[in-house]
Amino acid sequence: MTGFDYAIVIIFLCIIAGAGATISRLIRSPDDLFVAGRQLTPFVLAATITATNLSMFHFVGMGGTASQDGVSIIWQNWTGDIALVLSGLFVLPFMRRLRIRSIPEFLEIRYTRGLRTLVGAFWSMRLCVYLGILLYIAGSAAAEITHWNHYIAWLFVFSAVSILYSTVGGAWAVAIMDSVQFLTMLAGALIMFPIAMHAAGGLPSMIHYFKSTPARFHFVDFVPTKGTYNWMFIVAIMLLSLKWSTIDQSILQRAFGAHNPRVGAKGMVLSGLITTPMAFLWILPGIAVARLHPQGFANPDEAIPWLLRTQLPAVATGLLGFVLCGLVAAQISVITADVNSVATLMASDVYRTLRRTEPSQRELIRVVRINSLLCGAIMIATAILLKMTNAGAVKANLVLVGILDMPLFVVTVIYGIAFKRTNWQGAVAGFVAGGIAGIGCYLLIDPQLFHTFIYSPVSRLSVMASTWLTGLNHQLLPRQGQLRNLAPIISSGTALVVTPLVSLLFAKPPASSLRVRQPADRTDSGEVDDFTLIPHSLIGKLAAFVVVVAAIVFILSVISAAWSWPLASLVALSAMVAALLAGVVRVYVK
Amino acid sequence: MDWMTLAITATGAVIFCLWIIIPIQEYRTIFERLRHRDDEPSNGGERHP
Repeated sequence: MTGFDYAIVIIFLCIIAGAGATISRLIRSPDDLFVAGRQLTPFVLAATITATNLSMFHFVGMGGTASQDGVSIIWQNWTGDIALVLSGLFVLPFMRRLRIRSIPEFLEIRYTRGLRTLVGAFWSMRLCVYLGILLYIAGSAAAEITHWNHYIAWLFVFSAVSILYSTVGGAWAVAIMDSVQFLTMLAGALIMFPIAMHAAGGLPSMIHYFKSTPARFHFVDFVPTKGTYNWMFIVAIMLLSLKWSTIDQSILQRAFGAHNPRVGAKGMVLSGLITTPMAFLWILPGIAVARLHPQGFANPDEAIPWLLRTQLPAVATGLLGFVLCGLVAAQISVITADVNSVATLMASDVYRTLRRTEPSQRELIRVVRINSLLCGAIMIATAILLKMTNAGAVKANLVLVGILDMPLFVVTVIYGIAFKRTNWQGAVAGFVAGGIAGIGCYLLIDPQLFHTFIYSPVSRLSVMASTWLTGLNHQLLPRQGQLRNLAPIISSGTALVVTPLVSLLFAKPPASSLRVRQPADRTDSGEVDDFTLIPHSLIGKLAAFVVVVAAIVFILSVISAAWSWPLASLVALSAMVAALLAGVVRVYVK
Repeated sequence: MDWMTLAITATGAVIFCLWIIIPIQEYRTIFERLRHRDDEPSNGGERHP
């Protein structure tokens, strides 16, 4: 990097940090801090949701994974886009009408205050760890690209900027600056993409190269039958994406900032629509690295930084600095959104629910700001730990969401919205049992975790049991990749079974807990709320029907790859495009 | 530049332009609403005002 590159990055960081202080003038109430005063419009909301979704995890982590395992990792994005459409049409409008700020708040309305506190505390910690992963990628990539190998210093630079502006400016700073950061990251990707494709000999030539190399044919197969990111991975990630789009605090908190339910739906669907073609911009450069550097990298997260460092300076001075701004923008927009979400969970769902008296607005805002600083400390500690263990960021994140998130999706969306009979006892039992099942899955298939957490304690109690478990561990080890993909299915399946069974053992929930089912006919600002689950117009009905059918066809075509159906990729891609386009039609008609 | 790279880059460029033009208009609407809001007393954004 030249001095000019550094100057571009430093100026960009100063602008972002300064924006928080300026935007803080908009803060009048906790709602301004948490959900941007619920004033956001469709395109602004789509930009903020997209910027909250995309990070260096996508550009560096997923690009790097593509360089190692092929193009099918792109489904981590694309399934999320289909899920955004489904959530935007069928879940978000319902939740937006409740005027909640967080998913734990919904759990209090539906089940009990205790579950709100439990899930609020649990999700705060889970988000802090996720932030640590994001910070780890940012620090590693910045050190790799700039060759200024001061990892810890990079962590502090990114943390200081993100925490400063989200702590001071809250959700308003996140929403407004996300639009700027969305454009910056897109500009950076639009510079990086053609240069990477040119360096690798052009996209058609790359496709021909991989198709004519039998050992690497799967690199350009969208729905592969074999490999780590095969059809089973796509089914598992689709489930996780449904969870992500319906209960992920950082995404939904942005959508709760929508001016009304229809705007929320538009924002989510538009975000899904634009992220779909954008995904090529960070996945295909990874495929280019696979051709340019066929021997690969020990850590896949090094692939994209290597590409940037070797290709961009040869094209023009300052280009590397500009693309680095795009990457930093992607990362900071996610970190700030998540810091804002952690602060919301801790202040609104933990601190507020544990107090006997209602805190004043000023007190609540102070708690939010203290929690943002605390969150910063935890994420730095996690990023340092990740660097010491040298784990790939994509795998670390998949483990985290596989274990912990699916049970929450089951009790919140499936049983919380659709089944009246579920009570808080069933919800707590399903959430805990699903989490334990997910953790158990990983403990059984990871040799190191197995010996530490299962073999050693069990062998002290029973030699026979430990021998049986060791045999099971040896049997499962060859299928480690498939079992990792199955972990979210096992954890959600456990929650699906346990929640109703335990609910039946206890009394029916009181009728008051079911008021969430009653729709309102007016928005907060008094406008008519005309966004219904089943559309009024024929075009609307048809579009909603196409979305549902396309989603089902998508899943079936992905599963058909298990039998090597040659059209699986084509049908899955067509179904995804149909779902996205029909989703756009649905949100714009009555 | 080959046609596939060109098509993807052009799609990205269209999204880039759209997301400059339309949000500028939307931000005007948001700040207009905020100006109105500043004239009214706030209830703190509680769910049950």
